[in-house]
Amino acid sequence: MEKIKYEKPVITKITAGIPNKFGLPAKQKIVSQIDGIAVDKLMDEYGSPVFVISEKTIRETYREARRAFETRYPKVQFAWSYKTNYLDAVCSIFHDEGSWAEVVSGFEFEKALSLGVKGTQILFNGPEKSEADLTLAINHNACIHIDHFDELYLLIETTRKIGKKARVAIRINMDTGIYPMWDRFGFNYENGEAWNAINRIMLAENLDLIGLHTHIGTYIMSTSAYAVAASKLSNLYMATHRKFNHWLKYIDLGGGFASKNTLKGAYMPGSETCPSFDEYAEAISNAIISSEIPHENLPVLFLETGRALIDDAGYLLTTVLANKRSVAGRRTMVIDAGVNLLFTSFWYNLGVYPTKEVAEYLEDTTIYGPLCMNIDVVRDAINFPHVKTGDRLVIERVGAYNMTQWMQFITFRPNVVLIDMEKKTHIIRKKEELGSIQNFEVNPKR
Amino acid sequence: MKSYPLTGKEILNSILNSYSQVFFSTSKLLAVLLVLISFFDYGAGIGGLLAILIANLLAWSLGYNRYFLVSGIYGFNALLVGLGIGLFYQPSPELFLLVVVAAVTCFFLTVVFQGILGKYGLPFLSVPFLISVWIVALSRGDLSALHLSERGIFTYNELYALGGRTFVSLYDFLETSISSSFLKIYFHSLGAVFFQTHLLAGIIIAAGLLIYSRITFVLSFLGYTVAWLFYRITGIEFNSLGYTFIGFNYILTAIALGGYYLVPGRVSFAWIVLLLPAVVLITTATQQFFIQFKISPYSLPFNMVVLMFLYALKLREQRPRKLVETPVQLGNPEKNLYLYSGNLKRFPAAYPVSASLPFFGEWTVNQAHNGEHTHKGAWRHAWDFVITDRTGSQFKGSGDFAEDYYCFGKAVLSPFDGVVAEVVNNIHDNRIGDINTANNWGNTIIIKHNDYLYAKLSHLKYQSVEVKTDDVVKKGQLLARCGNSGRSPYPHLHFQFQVTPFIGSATLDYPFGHYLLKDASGFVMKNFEFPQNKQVVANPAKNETLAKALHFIPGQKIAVDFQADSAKKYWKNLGGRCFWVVETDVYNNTYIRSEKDGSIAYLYNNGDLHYFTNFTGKKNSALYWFFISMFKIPLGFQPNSNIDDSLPVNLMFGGITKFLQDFVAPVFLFLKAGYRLTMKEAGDILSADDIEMNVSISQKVAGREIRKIESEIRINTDSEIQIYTKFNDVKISLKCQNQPESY
Repeated sequence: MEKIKYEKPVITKITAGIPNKFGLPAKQKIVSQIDGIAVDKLMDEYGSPVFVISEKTIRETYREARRAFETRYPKVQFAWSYKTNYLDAVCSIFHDEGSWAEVVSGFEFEKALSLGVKGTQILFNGPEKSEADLTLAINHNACIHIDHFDELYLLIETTRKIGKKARVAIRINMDTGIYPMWDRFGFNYENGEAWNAINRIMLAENLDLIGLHTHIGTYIMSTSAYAVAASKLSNLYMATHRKFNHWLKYIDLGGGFASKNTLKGAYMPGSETCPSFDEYAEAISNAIISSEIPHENLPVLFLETGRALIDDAGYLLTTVLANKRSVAGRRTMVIDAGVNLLFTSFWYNLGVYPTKEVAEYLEDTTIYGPLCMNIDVVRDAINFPHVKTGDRLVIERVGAYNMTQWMQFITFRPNVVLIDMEKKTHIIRKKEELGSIQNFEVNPKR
Repeated sequence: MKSYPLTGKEILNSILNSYSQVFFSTSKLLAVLLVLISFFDYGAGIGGLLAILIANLLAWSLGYNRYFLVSGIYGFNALLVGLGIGLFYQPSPELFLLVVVAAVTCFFLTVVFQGILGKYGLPFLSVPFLISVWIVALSRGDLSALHLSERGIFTYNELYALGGRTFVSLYDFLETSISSSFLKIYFHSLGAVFFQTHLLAGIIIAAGLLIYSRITFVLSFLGYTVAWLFYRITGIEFNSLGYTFIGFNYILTAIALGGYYLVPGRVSFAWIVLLLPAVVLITTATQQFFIQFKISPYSLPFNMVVLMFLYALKLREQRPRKLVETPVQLGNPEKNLYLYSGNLKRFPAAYPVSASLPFFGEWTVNQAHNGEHTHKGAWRHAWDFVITDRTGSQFKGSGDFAEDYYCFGKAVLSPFDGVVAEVVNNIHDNRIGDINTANNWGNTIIIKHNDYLYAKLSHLKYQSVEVKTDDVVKKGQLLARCGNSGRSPYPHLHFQFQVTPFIGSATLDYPFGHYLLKDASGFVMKNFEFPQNKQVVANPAKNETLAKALHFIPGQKIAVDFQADSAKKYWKNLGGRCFWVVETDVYNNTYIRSEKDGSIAYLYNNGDLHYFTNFTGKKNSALYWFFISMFKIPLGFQPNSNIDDSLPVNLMFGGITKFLQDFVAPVFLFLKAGYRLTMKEAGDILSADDIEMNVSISQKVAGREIRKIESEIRINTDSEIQIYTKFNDVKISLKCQNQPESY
C-alpha cells in the first residue's frame, strides 16, 4: 500500500459570509505533460527552470488565425512580430507557415535576414531607425513604416545619398474609442497629421508609399476598436486614391490581439473574456469590405499578431524551493523562476499548476521568485494547494515576450526546449554559463 | 467609294481559295488540282474562272470584307454557277455574257444569305449557287441564242482533244481496271461536284482531298458508302445515283457535318450514318418535285440537311460535350480536332463565363455533383461548400448552434459579373438539425451571367443579402453571408448553375473557371473543372508580374533574340534577331505575328489565364518555341504547383506518324504531347517579383516517350521574357523584350 502523502496541518479562520458567486472551488488543474511528454522527463533532462515551447501549438494557433481571416478577406498576410519571441527556432516555424517578419530594430532586421527572410518580406516598424538601419532596409527593399516626420526627413536624405527608392508606409495613431489611446507612435489621424504625412510622402521623389499601418494598443479586448481602426485606414486609403490616383497596396492593422492570459485586476479569466481570432477577423474584414473601397482594389491586409499566436505555446517548468509563513500568517512559496524570466508576470496573473495530484484544500498563497530582490513576485495571491519543496510546477502561457524581455540578472537564463511535431525535444537556446556573460566583459589591466 | 488595294498574292489567293472552298478548304494544292479539273472542259473552266473574277471584283470594288474575299468565301458559289452554265452551253460570247449576269446575281445572293444565315451563326453553303443556277435553268427555254453543249456525250472525242492518245488510253485503263461500280460511282460523284463526268476528275479530287485532309477523305468515302448501302437496301434504282451525279450530296454532307462544322469524333461519324439515309430520301423526293420543272435539285438536299441540323444543334440548352460545333474554324478537320481534343476545356467558346469560387479562403466541398444527399435528379449538378478545421470538423464547440460552424456568417461573393435576377432574404435560419422543407432553398440569390447561364446561391443567412433585384454585380463582390435557411440541417453554401432564372430550376452541368485544389504537396491549378466531394478549394490570387507580362496589347512590338545550338547545321541557321507584333483580327482574336516569317500565334487571356489557342506558320521558328513553352500559364499561381495540358498533335508531330494518326484521329489518338508547367518563384502578395517557371513537354507515341523537351522560363518585372529550352542535343534560347513605341 502506498504511503499516504503527509500534509502539514493548517489552522484557518472560518469566514462566514456570502459564498463565492462561482460556487465551490473547481478541482485544481494538473499539468503533468506537454504534448504527450512528461514534465518530469523534460525537467530531468533539461534542468530547472526550463522553458518549453510546443511547435504543434504554434502551428495550430497560426493556422486557426489564418483560417479566421482568409475565409473572410481575400488577401491576408501575417508578419511575425519578432519582439514577441525572436528565438531562431520559433521565427523559423512562423516563416515556414508563410509568415513574413515584423521587426523594430536593426538587430531584428538582421536576425530576420539571417533566417533567410527576403528583405522585401520584412516590415520595419518602430520609432528608432538609424541611418544605417534605413540604408540596410532600403538596400533590401523592405517596407519601412515611418513613425515621425524626423524619420521621414532622414529617410528622404538617405534615399538621396544612396540613390535608391524606398518602399514606405506610415504608422498612424487614432482614437478608436478605447483607453488608453496610444498616441506616441506614428502620425495622428484625427488632427490631420497622418494626411499631411501622406501628402508629403506622395510628393517625395524617392519614396513609394505602399501602405498604411496602425497598432492601436496591446491586449485589446474590444473588437470594435479594430473595426474603427480599419475603417479609418480605409478612409485614408480612398482619400489617397482620390487625390493621387494611386492605389496603396496594404493596410496593416498591427497586433494587440489579447491572448488567453488574465490581466491583473481582471474580474474574469482571460480565457473566458478575450475575443477569438474569428471575432477580430469578423470586425476587421467587415469594416474594410463595407468601406468605400471597390472590391477589385481591396488592399492586402497585414496582421502583426504576436502575443495571441505564441503565448499558449510557451511553458515554464519550475521547482518549489521553499514554503514559508509570513508574519501575518500568510502562506508564501519560493520557486526557482522569478521575474528575471517572467517579465509578463508584471501584467498577468500567470497560471501556475502542480504536476501531480494534490490535496483538494487550497490556500491563498504568494509565490516569490528566487531573486534576492523585493520585486521578485510571480503571483501576489493565488489559491494554491500545498506542495512540498522539490515539487515541480508548470507556468502556462509564457510564450510571448518572456524570452525576449528576460534579464540576465543574478543568475543564468535557462535552457529553452522545443517539442517538435514528431514529439522530439530540442534545445533551441542553451542555458547560459559564466563564459557566456564574461566573454563580453573587458577588465582593464592594472 | 474608295477600295483598298489588293496585293498580287491576295488576288491569287482569292481565286485559288474560291476553288478549294467548295470542299471547305483553303488548301492551295487542292485548289490547283480543282482548277486543272475544271479546265477539262475549257468552256466550263473559263466560265468558272470568269464568275470568280466577277464576284471577287464586285466584292472588292463595293468594299466588302477583305478577309472573306481573300479566303474565297465570296467566290466559290459564283464558281459553281460559272462551271454549271459553262458546261451546259456551247462556248460563245453569249454564254459568257450569261455567266457574267449569273455571277453578279450569285454574288449578291451570297452577300444576302451570308447576312441572313450569319445572324443564326449558320454558313450559307451553296444556297446562292442553287438559286442562281435554277434561275438560269428555268429560263433556258427562252435563251434561244445559246446552244446546248454536246459534251459529255462523246467522251473519247473530248479526251482526245484534251490530251491526245495518252489521255484516251489512261481513261480506258481506269475504266477497265476499276471494275467495281461502287468505286466508279464514288469517283464520278466526286467529279460531279465540279460538274465533271470523267472518272479521272474524281480520282484527282480524291487525291487532293487525301493530301488536304485525311479526315475529309475518310468522310467523303463514309458518306458515299452509307448512301450507297441505303440505295441497295431500300431498292432505289441504283443507276439514278450514277446517272444524275447527285451522289455528291452525300459526300458533301458527310464532310460538312462529320468534320468541318462539328469537331470530328466518333459521335459526329455516327450521326453521318444516321443522317445520310435522310439525305437520300430528300434527294429522291426533291428529284420527283423538280422534274416537273425539268431542272435538277443539284445540292439542295445537302444544303437542307446541313443547315437544319446545324440550326437544331444550336438550339440545345445545355453546353454540349458531344457533337460540338467547331469553336474556332481552322479550315481543316485535323487541326480542329487536335486543337479541340488537346483540352476542350481550354476553349473560351465552350465556356463563355469563367466563374470563380463564391467565397474567400479555403472551403471544403461537402457534396459535389451527383451527391449522396440532395444533389440528385434535376438538381444533381450542384455543390455544397463548408469550412473545416485541421481535424476536418465543420464546427467548434458542441456544434449545437449555427454560430459554432466556421462557415456561418462568412462572406458569399458573386462568381462572375452579372445582374441580380432574384433575391430571397427573409427566411429564418434553422436550428441545427432542423430543416425547412416549405422554403426548400431558403434565402437565395440568383445572378444572371448571360441569357443561358444563371448562378444560384442558397441557404444564405437571414437578412444578410446586400444586393437587390436588377443590381449589377461584379465578380468577387460581396452578396450575402453563408447561413442555415431552407432545407439546411447545418450551415453550408449551396451553389449551382442553371439556365433559367427561377428558384427551383434544374441545375446545369457547368464548371468553375479557375480554382486551386489543395493536395498533399500544395495546390494544383484547375481550369474549367468540377470540384469533387471532400476536396479543399480556394480562389487563386493574381500575380502582377505575370498579368503584366502576358497582357499582350495590339500594337505592341517585341524584339526577340533567338539562338539555337546543336551539332546539326539545321538548328544553327535558325537563330537571329527578329521582331514580333501583336495584332487583332476581325474576329477579335489577338495574336502575335512574326515580322520575319509571318508565323502567327493566336492567344487568349481572360484575366485569369493566358494560353495560346493556335499556331500557324514555320515550325521551329522563334515564335513556335515561344508558343510551345508559354502554351498555358495561369495569371494567379501558387509557387510549387503545377498545371497540366496537352499540345495540339499537328504542331508537335509530322511525317508519316501524323499522316497515319489523321486517319484514325476522330476515333483514337495515339500521339500525345503532354505539357506541364511548374511555378518556381512568383514574388509575393505585395510585390511582384521575378517569375521562374519550368515547362516539361513529353512527346509520346502509343504511350512510349520519344522525346522530352525541358524549358526554363524567366519573366522579370519589366516584362522581359527569357526561355531556355533543351531536348536531345539541341539548346534554344529566346529573349523577348518590349520595344518602345518611338524605337
